[in-house]
Amino acid sequence: MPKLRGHAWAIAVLLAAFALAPSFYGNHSVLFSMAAFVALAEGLNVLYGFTGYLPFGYVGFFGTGAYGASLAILAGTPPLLALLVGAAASVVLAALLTPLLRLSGAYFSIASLATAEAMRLIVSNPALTPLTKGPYGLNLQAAFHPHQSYWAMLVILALTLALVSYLRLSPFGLALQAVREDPVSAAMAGVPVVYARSAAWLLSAAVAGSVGGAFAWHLSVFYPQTVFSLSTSIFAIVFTLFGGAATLLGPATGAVLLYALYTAVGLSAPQYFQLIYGLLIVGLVLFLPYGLTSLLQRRGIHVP
Amino acid sequence: MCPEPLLEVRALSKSFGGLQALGGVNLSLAEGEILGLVGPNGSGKTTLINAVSGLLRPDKGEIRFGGRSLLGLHPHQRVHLGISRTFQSPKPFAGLSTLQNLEVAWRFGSGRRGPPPQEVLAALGLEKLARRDAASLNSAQQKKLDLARALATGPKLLLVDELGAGLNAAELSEMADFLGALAVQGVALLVVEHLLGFLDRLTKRLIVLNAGREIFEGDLQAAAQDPQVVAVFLGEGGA
Amino acid sequence: MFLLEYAVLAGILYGLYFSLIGIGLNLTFGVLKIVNLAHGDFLMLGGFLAYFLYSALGLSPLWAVPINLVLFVALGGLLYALLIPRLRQSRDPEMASFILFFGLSQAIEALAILAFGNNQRSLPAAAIGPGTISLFGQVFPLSWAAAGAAGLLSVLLLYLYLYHTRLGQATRAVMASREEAVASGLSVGRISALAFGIGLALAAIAGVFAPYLLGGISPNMGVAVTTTSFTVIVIGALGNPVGTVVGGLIYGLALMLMETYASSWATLLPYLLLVITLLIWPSGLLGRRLRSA
Ligand SMILES: Nc1ncnc2c1ncn2[C@@H]1O[C@H](COP(=O)(O)OP(=O)(O)OP(=O)(O)O)[C@@H](O)[C@H]1O
Ligand SMILES: [Mg+2]
Repeated sequence: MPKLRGHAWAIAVLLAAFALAPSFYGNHSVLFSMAAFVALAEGLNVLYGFTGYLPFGYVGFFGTGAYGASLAILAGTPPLLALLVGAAASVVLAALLTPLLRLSGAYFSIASLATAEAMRLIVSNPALTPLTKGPYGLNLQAAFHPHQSYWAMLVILALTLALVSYLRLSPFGLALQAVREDPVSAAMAGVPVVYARSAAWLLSAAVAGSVGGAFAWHLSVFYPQTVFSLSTSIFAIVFTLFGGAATLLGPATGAVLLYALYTAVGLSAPQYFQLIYGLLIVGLVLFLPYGLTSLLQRRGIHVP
Repeated sequence: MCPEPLLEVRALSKSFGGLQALGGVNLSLAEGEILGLVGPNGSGKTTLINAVSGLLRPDKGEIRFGGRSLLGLHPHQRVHLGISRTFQSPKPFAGLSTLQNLEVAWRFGSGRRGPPPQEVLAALGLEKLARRDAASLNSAQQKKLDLARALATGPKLLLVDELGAGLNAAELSEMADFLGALAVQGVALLVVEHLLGFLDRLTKRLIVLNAGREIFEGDLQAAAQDPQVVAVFLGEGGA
Repeated sequence: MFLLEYAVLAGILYGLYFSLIGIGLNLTFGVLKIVNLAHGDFLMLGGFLAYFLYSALGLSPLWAVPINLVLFVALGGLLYALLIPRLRQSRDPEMASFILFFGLSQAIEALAILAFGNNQRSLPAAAIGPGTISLFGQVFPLSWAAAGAAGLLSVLLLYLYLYHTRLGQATRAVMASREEAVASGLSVGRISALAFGIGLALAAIAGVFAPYLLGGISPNMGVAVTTTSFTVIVIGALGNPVGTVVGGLIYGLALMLMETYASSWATLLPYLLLVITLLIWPSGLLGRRLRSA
């Protein structure tokens, strides 16, 4: 139970920081994006950290959630309910894509990337303009409400952190890690391998979908390439790797530190960040493959 | 009158491409019984275990357990029915502690009805390693952990694939006593082993496989007299 | 009917070119068992070299072919020495190298944007030679034929290298089993470094024709090109460089038919084909089954 207390504290501190920050720091959209990236990194962690599947196309769920929620809002659904629609849209997409889990390693990653690109091309196809507004993007200004969408984002973040905590502390989380290490032995330990993996996959998609929905609501005007941008996947992956996958604090720490750095140096030249993050990935793989938290874990310290 | 055996394998066949790994194997095993399975390398012993545990689908034949057919059941469902196995080269769950390895098997394999993880660890002399990362165990310890994982699922039938390889004489004798005690508690054991002395301590009932076919059934002494068995093993030594 | 003939012939030319795009990736995969996710970015770099040869020095872009060959074999050797030995020590080298090359691809893309600006460049048709060429009564730009010929030639040369030279035979031995190749005393490191370099060079050479067949070169084209290459080799045969041609031709034909009959959806093709092929034949039409679930 001391572990549970550690997790509860960690979550409480993080949420309190995000709840209080708007009173001290004026740029709320930066705070919103940071919270969104913490949640996205944790959502990626649900899949990558606990099952070993690295979805390069994670942004596909983010974008699908954004479009699902926005189209629902445009159809007159109250925004909070629309976020659920966004999450549901992503879960449906993930369910359709469960056969991808038959692929392993690099094959899965590339296939997932391909599906995200395909989603972007489908959504932005001029032929679908009546449905998705094609390349022209969506405009939700009638529902624009930065305050509410910020709080909605924090609720999503809280649920996501609770989910990762659950995986970190529960037998189900252990079973997922067993499957990650060796699916055959895991099956022989009685773990329903396919079911366990699929559950992690759907949960991870639900996180990205609801974050995408909240993001679209907060932004209120966006284009297909805004919400299906590969760099969103890259950010989530870098944050997770940097902090340390399969922990609660790793991805969150990675997201907060690196996103703060990203904002501090300035958004004017995104290429510098692409360069830094690219090199950071290379460096991490070569020198710190298990992230910051592994520095503590190696000394026998339990990291929530 | 005779009660139905716990495990019944009939006319089991499996080919990989052109290679027949199993060519119509029959065997049956009752509760608390130990059956030794020997044969040269590549004779199909592991393939038989894979078929019973559900890791591969046989081409033909039937496997019945406790009176029901196992056809179409997933590996984990067979574990839930009480079939467990060890691996020739075990792969423990790295990143999880030894104890957590067993917790997974205990909760998911037996629904917490099997022997508690701490007890299994103690029974196999692994209790000092409970908190160690399973990946850091040496190979003899990994073999024991693999057996412990199988036991934590609370099996009625345990399929043991070359547990002896890599254990020293003292460990072997300990292991033989341990498996014998399991059988006394009613667990049925199918033991694949190259070390005949080890098998001899466990059971009088042996099946010899060669190229996927059963060529002998009986006790070790009789097997040593059987010209076909002798030819197969001498042939292997000479090859 | 006329349209169909055109689409089929164009599909074959494009198919040969797509073989060239994919073949280097397949060679690297076969020898090193890693997916070079920066493959498309090396193609982009090779394309820029051709572009600057023409626009700054007035030279034919075709000069970039030999220059790329030398330059990128050398670059490959260097990258190999820097990265691969350390990667091999990690717990899951396949996944580690995959992530690493993903990072490298991002870094190259960013550097290219900083150096060349974030816009598309193209070359005038005349740069590669004047006029058009007529094949079976259909008229195509000369550059298409040149790209098709380059594709065909590269596959043939790679085939000759792999099957009729000693170094190539050693390379195939490494492809078949790294362990056995080490055991039989081959200098596996050097052979792999060379194969990696050749893989990059083939990508860079394909880049020379990108202004014509891929509609231009831009720093951010890497991801799409890598996906296309991967699709081509997955349709063909993973780890069997010569089998790439099958994938290239199927892909080229499918693309041209789509462009002819359903053009607004043609960009979707590589992604759909990739996912479908991976799910149905995880190691390609000609490949042995590499992995089971
Ligand atoms: N998944 C597989 N695919 C192809 N061939 C296989 C497969 N599994 C086993 N085989 C082949 O089937 C034959 C029987 O293999 P098996 O592993 O059952 O032998 P074994 O009796 O356990 O041998 P050993 O004593 O070496 O463990 C061998 O020739 C082996 O190469
Ligand atoms: Mg065996």
